[in-house]
Amino acid sequence: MSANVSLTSVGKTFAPGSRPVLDNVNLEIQPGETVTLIGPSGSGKSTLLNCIAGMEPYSGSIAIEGEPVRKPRRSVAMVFQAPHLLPWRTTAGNIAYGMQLQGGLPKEDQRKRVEDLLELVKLRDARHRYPAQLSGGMQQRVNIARALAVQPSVLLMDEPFGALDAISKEHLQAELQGIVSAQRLTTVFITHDISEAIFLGDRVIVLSADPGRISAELTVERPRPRPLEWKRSAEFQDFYSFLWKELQQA
Amino acid sequence: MSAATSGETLSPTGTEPAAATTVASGHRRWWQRTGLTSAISVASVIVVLAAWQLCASQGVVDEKLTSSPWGVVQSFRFLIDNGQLGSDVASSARLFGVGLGLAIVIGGLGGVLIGWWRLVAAVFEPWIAILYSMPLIALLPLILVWFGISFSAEVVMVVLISVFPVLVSVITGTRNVDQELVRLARSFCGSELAVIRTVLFPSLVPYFVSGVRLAIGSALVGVVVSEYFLGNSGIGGLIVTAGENLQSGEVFVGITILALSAIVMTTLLRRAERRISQWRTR
Repeated sequence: MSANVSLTSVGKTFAPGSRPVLDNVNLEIQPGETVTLIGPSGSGKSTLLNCIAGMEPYSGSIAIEGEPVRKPRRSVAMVFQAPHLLPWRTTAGNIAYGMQLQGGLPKEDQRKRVEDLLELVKLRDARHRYPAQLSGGMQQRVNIARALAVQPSVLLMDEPFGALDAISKEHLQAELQGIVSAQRLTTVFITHDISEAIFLGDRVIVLSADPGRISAELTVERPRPRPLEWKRSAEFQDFYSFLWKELQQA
Repeated sequence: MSAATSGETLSPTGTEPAAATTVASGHRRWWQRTGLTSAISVASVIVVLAAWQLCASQGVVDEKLTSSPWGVVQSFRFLIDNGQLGSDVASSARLFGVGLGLAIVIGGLGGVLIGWWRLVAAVFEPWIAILYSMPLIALLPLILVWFGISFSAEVVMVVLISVFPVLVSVITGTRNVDQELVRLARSFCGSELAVIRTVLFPSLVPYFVSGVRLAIGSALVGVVVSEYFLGNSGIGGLIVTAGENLQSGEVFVGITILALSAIVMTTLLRRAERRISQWRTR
């Protein structure tokens, strides 16, 4: 189910002659590993994620399971920052959407999978509601469920909890951690929230701005599931101040 | 007449996106809630009709020229009894249906192609700009030369006049599609066709409907104009012949039928759209 992602001297320049957005990014992501990317705005975090998703051309090489990435692939699912739900589809319809686009799955299996995901993201009661009737946190859960529905081996997440209030955010972090480790998903997660990066990451990568480069790396050795209380521990605080200092220089 | 229908008949050519018409019902003033406005609308129509009848029967105006509500009713009966009205309505309806149908298909498909692919737009946009801004009735003599006095000439005229509202509206809608949803669909490896079907088509509904609503009006103009000049048949023919024979009652019969069919079709369309777009209001 899980796959490795490997980036070798990845670079990205938008307009010819302008300063590169990404410069010489090298990163090996192990199968089932969660890597969180953190960095100031302008460090090219989202651009890097789009490159891995195959939605943006780049220089250098990116390979998933040894295969070079040039266009979106079925085993990779992307979760955008805004939920981007189809407003004319219900919760269940939105969860099924990615699956239906990829096709190849019998209707009965689709229904079963939507059923399981509604359970997983706790949206059973909201299955017939339209996005306009859901809270921000619920919409984001639909967004995640839609990505999980295609049973990806790599999950790419672009600040999915950025717009949420502190409480829904912590809930979703805990839920996501459970899902990701249960399914051994290889995950790349972008955030600019330091404690989110530590809590979710097996490894935290700090990107510096202008041009975007890897400027620091932190391995978070702490078994899962990690309880939310762990965020209040001294160990966590040490990680936090290390990353905070790194970000000041980034 | 209920409050809702009277509100609709007052703005039959509204171009505003349909969402706006459905939200505003929350705060209504007392004179709207009590149905006073619709009572006034009904009264307005009745007063004018009564004044017309009175002026005609008292000899204030020449009933031969102006007819009267009662005169119109009698003309109605007369035309139904001699079978002319039935065949005229059928003939106009056929022209209207074929013309509007073609305009919707051409405008809808063309609008998607032009709105979605920049290169297609580059080819067709100058022609749309030229044709949409000119009074197309000016082309009538040419159509007459090319197609003669025939059903196809009439259809061409109707299509020409009514295709642009649909076309332009669908182009606008296609360009306004939420690009983030398009990106999302592509990230799931959605094919171009799948993106168009699952993202573009549903978001086009309000644009398509408002295009069709305008096209209904234009197509009626097209029908009447081409019947005046190209065939002297149908309701348009009825109006012209009646006018020439100073049968103003029969002229009003034709006008009434045109007005009523426009109102009925626009109302039905609005109902249909409300049904498809329930997600908007719930």
